[in-house]
Amino acid sequence: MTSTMEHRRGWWRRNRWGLVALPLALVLALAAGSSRLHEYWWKRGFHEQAPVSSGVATLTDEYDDGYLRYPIEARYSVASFRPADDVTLYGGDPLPSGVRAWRLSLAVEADPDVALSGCTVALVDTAGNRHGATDSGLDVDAPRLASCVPESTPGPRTTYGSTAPPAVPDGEDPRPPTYRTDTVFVLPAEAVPAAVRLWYALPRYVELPVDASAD
Amino acid sequence: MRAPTVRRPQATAGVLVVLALVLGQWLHQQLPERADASRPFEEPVAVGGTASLRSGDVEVLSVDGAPSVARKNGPVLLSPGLFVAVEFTFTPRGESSSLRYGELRDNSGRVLPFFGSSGRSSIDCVGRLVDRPTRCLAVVEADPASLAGAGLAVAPSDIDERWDSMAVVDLGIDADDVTEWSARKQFLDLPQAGVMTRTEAP
Repeated sequence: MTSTMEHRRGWWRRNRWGLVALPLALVLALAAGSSRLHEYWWKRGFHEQAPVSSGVATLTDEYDDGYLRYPIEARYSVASFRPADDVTLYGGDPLPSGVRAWRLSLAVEADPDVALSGCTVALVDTAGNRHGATDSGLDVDAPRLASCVPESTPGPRTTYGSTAPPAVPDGEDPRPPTYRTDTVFVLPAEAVPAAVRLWYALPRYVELPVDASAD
Repeated sequence: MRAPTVRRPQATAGVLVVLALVLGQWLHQQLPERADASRPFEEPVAVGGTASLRSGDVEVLSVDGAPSVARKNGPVLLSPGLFVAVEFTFTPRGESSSLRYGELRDNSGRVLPFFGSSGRSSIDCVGRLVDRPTRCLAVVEADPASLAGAGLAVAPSDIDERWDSMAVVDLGIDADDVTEWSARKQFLDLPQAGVMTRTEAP
């Protein structure tokens, strides 16, 4: 009897390190089989928020399509956010009832040599709904396309189909190191905007709070 | 006196690991890969009803048919069979989203998939504002003999409809409908898709 118990104790003693390592091995095995989680969930959602300090978000990202890579670095802050009740449809007709327009001005600070075209901007309301600038499909007489860069001096950009790094076309002025972009959003009237969200390639994104009480 | 302990050679552990791997591989090969494990979540709906999908709500407004159809500012399309036009609304939930996939399930059990907002069989359904219905249109060209009792399925993705929800519309077409539609001489004027049918809150 005694020898049997000693034998059992001996087995636990002999295998103690293996038993300690077993949970770790299990975690590693699950992690090794989690590539789909990374590809289909992590990379397709808002999971890496850019750090925000004193109302300024610093986005450090990278464009990488497998052929071309370049850095994306900029600092963003909300310059102003107001209801845009003066906005009409093209032709002067008022917006239909049940919707409301909001005007966002973003302040951007970035090295003029960094390519910044191609972002997406949206508003997030207090219910967690996301609203893009062109969602309504209404012919609003205002800048609806979220411009990530100044229209006349967009700075470096890529050439479609080329693997050449982004460059400013000949004869075009460089983008200023600081600038503002204005976008008008049309939201359901009952939606209360809570934040602006900007991203190039998920999962990294910028989120800054907006104050919808400044009516 | 201490009981003698039996120490297995370390090779035994390696053999057991290899055996476990072989067993796992064999099981993987033997177990059936069932397509229905990844089937979409079907939400049945009839004309006049509403199906609740993951990304929004589908309300089926009407079903009509004719040998020729015309979109607004578009050419008249003529068919040796029939075009069936299904008008519905899509109310996106959480964010703007679209329905890009359609399939006709005919009365012989055949499935005719289609996608894209142009062409002879098409689905045009861009959900606009959250909680506001947008008019959508699915048009499918089919053999008249296959239509009585046919259904239409619509889903968000045109490349992968697995695991997502899908509205399956009972079109309610009978033989009399097919006869009536086939006799039409005037083309069917298709409603314009992509506009909100209501901008007020529900």
